[in-house]
Amino acid sequence: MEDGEIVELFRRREEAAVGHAAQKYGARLRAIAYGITGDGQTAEECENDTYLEAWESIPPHDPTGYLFAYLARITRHLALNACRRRSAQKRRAEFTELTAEMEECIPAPDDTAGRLEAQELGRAIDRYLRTLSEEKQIIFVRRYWYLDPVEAIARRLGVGQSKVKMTLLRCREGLREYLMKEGYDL
Amino acid sequence: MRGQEMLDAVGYVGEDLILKAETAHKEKKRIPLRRALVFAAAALLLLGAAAATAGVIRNRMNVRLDPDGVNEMGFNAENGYLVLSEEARQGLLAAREPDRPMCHMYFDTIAEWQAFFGLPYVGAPGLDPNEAVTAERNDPDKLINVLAPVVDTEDGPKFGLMVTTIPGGPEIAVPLSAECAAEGGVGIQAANHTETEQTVEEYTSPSGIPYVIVRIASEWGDRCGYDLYYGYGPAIYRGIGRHAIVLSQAETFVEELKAFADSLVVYMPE
Repeated sequence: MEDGEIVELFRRREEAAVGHAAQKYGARLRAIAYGITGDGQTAEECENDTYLEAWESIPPHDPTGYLFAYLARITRHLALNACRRRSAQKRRAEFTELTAEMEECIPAPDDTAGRLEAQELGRAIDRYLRTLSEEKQIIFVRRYWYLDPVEAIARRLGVGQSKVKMTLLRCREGLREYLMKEGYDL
Repeated sequence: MRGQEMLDAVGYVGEDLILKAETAHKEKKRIPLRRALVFAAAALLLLGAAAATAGVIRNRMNVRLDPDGVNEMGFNAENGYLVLSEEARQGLLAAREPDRPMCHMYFDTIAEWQAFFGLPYVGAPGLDPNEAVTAERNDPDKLINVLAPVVDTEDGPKFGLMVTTIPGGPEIAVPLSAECAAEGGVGIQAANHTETEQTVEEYTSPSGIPYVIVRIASEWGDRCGYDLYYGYGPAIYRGIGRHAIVLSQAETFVEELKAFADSLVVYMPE
């Protein structure tokens, strides 16, 4: 079924929308959640909650043309929250490492003045990514959107882990500089 | 602002970037692949020499079904499936992931693989099994597939086995084609009744493995892409699938699959 038809079912409040969305995108959404949480049951819960949030948010949202990305964002958000709910001991080391990496991109840590909404900051990051080559974009998004381990990114792209690590380091430095130049006060 | 909030913010990058990163995949760098192929070729030469001496090549020709449905490697064929021994079946079930109907097993040598599975090993050097998992998970295929990549590790190549099982069912078996058994060629199993398959091209790989690339189109119009199947003896070794978000993207996958198929190698039982 086309995305537009599924969205239309959501808009008409027909429960079949959930079934069609699950049939079409369930496995991929679950894979995203599993990649972040590393736990099958939690991933399944995130997937199911994704449909619930989609049910509640469409309408007013109309993700025709980008339904998967819309659902995937919800799944990612839910999976990240699930990670945060875990006790510090149980938190995935990978997740902790990722947040530490992202802190390197912040020009002025913990300065609450002028704090940006995540969405606005996300748009700034998006603009920065579009200044990069496609390979760098993919490496960055795989690492910080899909939360892939470095090893998995290297395998996926057929490059060495050292290249991935170096690319990520330069991307983080570049993002930090970009945000500073653009006058973002984080 | 903390790192976690930055991670949240990354969630709002553009949809096109998310999709591009999801489907991005490249073949391994040429140098490692060549090295793996050189290794495979050397292994084949050694195996060929050993096989010629030990009469194994004749065994290869005998990997066929007999009229009673039992092939000469001791496997039963029931309803078009090659059924594993109970011991092997239990081994696979024990290795099955708790939350997914699939399992991965890796063996240090071809001999170990074949002792467990009993078929000639058809492998693709350097294939990332996790990539294959991704492809399988996007596939509503209810048949049972076998993927046998040679996985490069720091300790040398490992011979892998990935099996997806029928969701919720206890059966684990290897799809078997009667046509394949009769002619030693490759057969195609229908992927799903809601999908149609159209053969795009048929080839024989440099190592003599027949394979076919089929174009998958869903009746619902929500899935497009290409699947690669290859066979050896009576068994179909389901290859990999490349499934796209948009049709124009899928059109680039044929060459990618051909390159993969050309890298296939076969390892004979010792």
